[in-house]
Amino acid sequence: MLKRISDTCFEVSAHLAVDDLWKSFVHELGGLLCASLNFVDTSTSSSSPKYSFRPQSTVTSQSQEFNNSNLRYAVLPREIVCTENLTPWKKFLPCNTMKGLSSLLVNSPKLYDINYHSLRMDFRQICADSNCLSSRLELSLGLGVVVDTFAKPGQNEWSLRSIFGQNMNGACPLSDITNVYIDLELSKLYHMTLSPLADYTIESNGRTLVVYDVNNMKQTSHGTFSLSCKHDRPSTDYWLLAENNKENNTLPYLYVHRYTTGYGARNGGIKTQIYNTPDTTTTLLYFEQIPWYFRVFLHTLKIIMENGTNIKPDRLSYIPGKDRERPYQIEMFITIPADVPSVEISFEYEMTFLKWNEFPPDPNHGFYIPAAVISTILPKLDKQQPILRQLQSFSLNESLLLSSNTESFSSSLFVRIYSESLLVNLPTPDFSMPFNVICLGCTAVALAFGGFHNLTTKQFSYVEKKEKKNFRQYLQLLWAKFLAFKQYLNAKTNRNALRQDLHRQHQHVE
Amino acid sequence: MPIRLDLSPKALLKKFLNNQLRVYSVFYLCGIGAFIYLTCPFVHHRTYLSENALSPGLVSSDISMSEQTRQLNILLRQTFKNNKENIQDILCKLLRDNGIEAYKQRFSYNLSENSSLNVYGIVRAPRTASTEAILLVAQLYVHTQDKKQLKPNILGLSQTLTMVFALRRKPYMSKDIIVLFSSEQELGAKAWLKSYYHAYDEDSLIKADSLPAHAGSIQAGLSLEFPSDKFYSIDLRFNGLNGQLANLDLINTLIQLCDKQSIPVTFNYVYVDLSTNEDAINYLLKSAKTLLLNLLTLSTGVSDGLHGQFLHYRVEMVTLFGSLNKQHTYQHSPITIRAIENVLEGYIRSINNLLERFHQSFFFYYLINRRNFVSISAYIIPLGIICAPLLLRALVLYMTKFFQNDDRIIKTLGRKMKFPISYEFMLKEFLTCSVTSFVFYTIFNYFYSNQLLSIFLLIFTAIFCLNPVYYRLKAIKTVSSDIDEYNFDFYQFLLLIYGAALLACLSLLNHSLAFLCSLYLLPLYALAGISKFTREFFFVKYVTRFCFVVIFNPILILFIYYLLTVTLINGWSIKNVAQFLTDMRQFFTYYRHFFHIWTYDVVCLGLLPLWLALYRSTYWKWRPISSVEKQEQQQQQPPQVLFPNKEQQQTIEDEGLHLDEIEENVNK
Repeated sequence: MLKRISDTCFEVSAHLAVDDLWKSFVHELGGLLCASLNFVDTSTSSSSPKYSFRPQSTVTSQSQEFNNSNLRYAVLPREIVCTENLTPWKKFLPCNTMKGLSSLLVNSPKLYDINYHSLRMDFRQICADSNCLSSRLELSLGLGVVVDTFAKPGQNEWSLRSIFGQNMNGACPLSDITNVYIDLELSKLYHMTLSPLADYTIESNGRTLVVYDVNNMKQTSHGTFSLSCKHDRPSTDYWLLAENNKENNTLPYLYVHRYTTGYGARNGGIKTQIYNTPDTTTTLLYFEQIPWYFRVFLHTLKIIMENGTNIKPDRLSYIPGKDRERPYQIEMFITIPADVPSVEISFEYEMTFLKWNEFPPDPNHGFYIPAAVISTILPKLDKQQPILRQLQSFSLNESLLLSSNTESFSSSLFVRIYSESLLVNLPTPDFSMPFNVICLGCTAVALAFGGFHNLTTKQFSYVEKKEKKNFRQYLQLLWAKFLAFKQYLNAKTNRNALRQDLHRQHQHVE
Repeated sequence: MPIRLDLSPKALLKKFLNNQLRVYSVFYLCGIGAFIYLTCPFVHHRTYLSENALSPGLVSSDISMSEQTRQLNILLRQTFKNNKENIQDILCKLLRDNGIEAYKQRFSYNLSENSSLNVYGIVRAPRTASTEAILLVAQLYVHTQDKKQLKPNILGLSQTLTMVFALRRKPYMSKDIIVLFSSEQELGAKAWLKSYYHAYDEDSLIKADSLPAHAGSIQAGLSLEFPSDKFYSIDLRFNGLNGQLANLDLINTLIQLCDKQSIPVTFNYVYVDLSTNEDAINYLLKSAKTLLLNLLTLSTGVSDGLHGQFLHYRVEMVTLFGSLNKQHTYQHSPITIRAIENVLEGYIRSINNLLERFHQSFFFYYLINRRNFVSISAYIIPLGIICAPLLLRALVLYMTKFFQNDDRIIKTLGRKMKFPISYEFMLKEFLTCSVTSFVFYTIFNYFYSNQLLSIFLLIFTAIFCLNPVYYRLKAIKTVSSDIDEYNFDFYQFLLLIYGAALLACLSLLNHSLAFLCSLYLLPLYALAGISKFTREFFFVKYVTRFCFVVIFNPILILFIYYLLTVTLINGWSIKNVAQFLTDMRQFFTYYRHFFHIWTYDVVCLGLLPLWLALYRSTYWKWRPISSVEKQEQQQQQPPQVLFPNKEQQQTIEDEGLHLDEIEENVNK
């Protein structure tokens, strides 16, 4: 929800460096999406992950070897996705918000009352045919929303209207497919009753999916499609079940919890707990990009299994950061054995003192550490979610939603999990009164120091007062001085004359 | 503008030098007077909200769940009555029934087997991604107003629960809310905090499970303590550990909210009616009482509520305690649940609006009453006045003794020296004092029976009081041969500088402690200074030593410190000597370790060595300067007296011979 993540792969062109391309791309994307992506600094907040991100398009598959220096990854964890981003995002859709699924998004304030939402945009080149001789472009837009239907007590039903404030305004005439899928997995617990009956169901590995085809005019009354559902209240048994039985259906296969450790303004640490529910060995890829002002110590990196034993990463790629130049970048492969439910990755960092002009306008808010990225391929399991599988398909030969064949469900699933981003307070000077304190304090110290220094290093004694001279005496003194000067000059010239005489005498003698 | 002594008439200076003790006493008394003067309204500032972001929460309220609070009250009371053991499970179930993720944390302490449970839940904010959090804490059991017994915190628990239930549905929340129901008073909170910040390595006395869920950096919090269902006023507690204080903005927000609901807010149960013209003397007395109680609480280093533990981890927090005192004469009905609910809602919404961590307003202050405070710029002055004699006396010693125009100047290696100083002796002396106090400091923590402790205390009292005598008997010759009045004064000078530095450092960390320490230290220096007159006045010797041993005995100070601390935590609870000793042992072995209270360390490692050094210096048998000078005149060979070492003497003579040459070199 918070993260603005972009990873882009560039083809190296002769004239422009990757960094320049990246900079202009980020600026353009920021303009398109009305986001302050231009704050992504090319050097200090971008990195080139070695393993975690690979192009999923036909662009680099043509060239033989993948070069990670052409890849850029940046995060802007400070910004929150909001209506200002949703509006330009909606304009990418063929029917804007007039028709189709996007007509649910007209009432955007209502959309932002929900518990969680995220926007996604993927743009890539895919094969036009099975031989991959020609290519075409694919733009996929995704909006993820989590609604808590149990929020209000006594409420055990939901509808499209109650969630989005609006029913669906038919299907977009430009679209080939406008489908609404409902996963009935939870129906086993809550006995859901859907109000218009579904067009057809998909059964896959004992999981039932209900599909509404909105293009099919059968479902729409007066051009609108409405959907409502009644269900039972959740019982606390559900929580107890989830707590006692970790292999419960409701838990995801892999989930991550990340948090900061330590307090105070000097040292800190990050702990990432990765929970792995399936009973198979999982190999995952952990990637972390940390701003330069958190100085990471690699020697503190520890990977501890739940039973307390340390494990070493299979492969580790670490690029140390440089102050004001480059972020820290940690990337590693970890293999979690089958019987280990969780693994804990931890390392420590030291906070730096920033220069006074490097602080943002709200220095006491804290500084964000971007989310860690965990990528893995989930093994083929019985209890997989078909929708997730379909959306995450990175097949180059077919576009995402156009392939509705259930066979693709059986292939193993690539997932990328973003952990929590963290907020840490760096040591911050008191910006509210620097002049009061520094200037006045220094002045006071300087004044006091002068006095004390004089007192302790000099010897004071009483001096007799000089008598005041009147004007005449003053003149006399001046006259005396003049006389003295005259005499001095005389003496000097005489001495010179004397010396010359002596010299002459000397020569004469010789 | 440099300070120049020659500006003042010679006579005035002489007068000052002759009446130093009186001048310093005046300074001391003036300092105390100035501190008392802080209670006067002329010094006060009126409190104000410095952070604008806090104000929106004060405007309106839209949560009204009093009915649910009442129902929860009934439920919780039954639970506390019937199955006390399952209270954690029931709280967990209540949170989960309302869709809030809830967890239990098991912890044990004191190396014992039995463990307790903390319950905590997190309400995730819909607006952000769990980067910031607000904390609401309600202990399961709290002390009653007289601190005699523990009672279930039913109203606190139910208030927190309903507030969380209500706020879960609010779309405006941008910070997560953590609710913590801690058991075992402060230990539970400490265990939870240790796990939350993963700060296990500090010490191993508390063992706690790691937490399954976190919610970002905690910005601020509130602890609720309501031992009884009915309460007539709220006692706001804000003193943290080791003199730490919550941000003044936080307190102001709460007071403003309470005033809006016309809930009387007291500090240490002292209520000042600001609306009517209260009797001036009454006002002053109340202000003085608040000031003094705050001073004592802060100087002991213990917190007056749960919030102290959280302040240690930089979570701005205060405690609201429902007290039974009726403040208005016309107040007959207790404070309604609705009123306290509004306060809570306003507080959370204010904090929720906060864009940055609390950084404005004051962190250093003394609250006089709920609308007036003394800022650091005012209260640092009395301490400065009290400590001024330390620096003045040091300066006077330096100027008069070491900068006299006398002929006894000896040139050694380019440095001017007026007299020989036996640094070795002074170092030994000071090291002896430091080591003795350090031994006392370390051994004091390892006693597991009363008899041993009392024997230990007796032995050390004897060592402290009698060690100068032993020292004098053994090394009487070295003392008398090496030391003259100059050395005594130089040692005094060093101790003065050390004391001033100690107090200056302390005043920046914990002003209250520094103030009390300065009150203790200054008379010690005065007594040590007076002991110079033992030759002229016979009884002075006995008076000073009596004062050192009886009135200013550091072990007595430790006893007083302990008594004060315990009284502030648990009320007056001393019944007999055995129990007193047991409690004291426990306090010094466990309690202060749990919470990192360092007042004891300051007393043992800061005050005790100074006391010892000054006390021992009263036993020094130095030769007065006049006699030294006479000796020199008789012998006509001052260097020999001053430098018994022949080699040194040689170098001096050599230097004397070559002095002209050196001067010539310099001129070149």
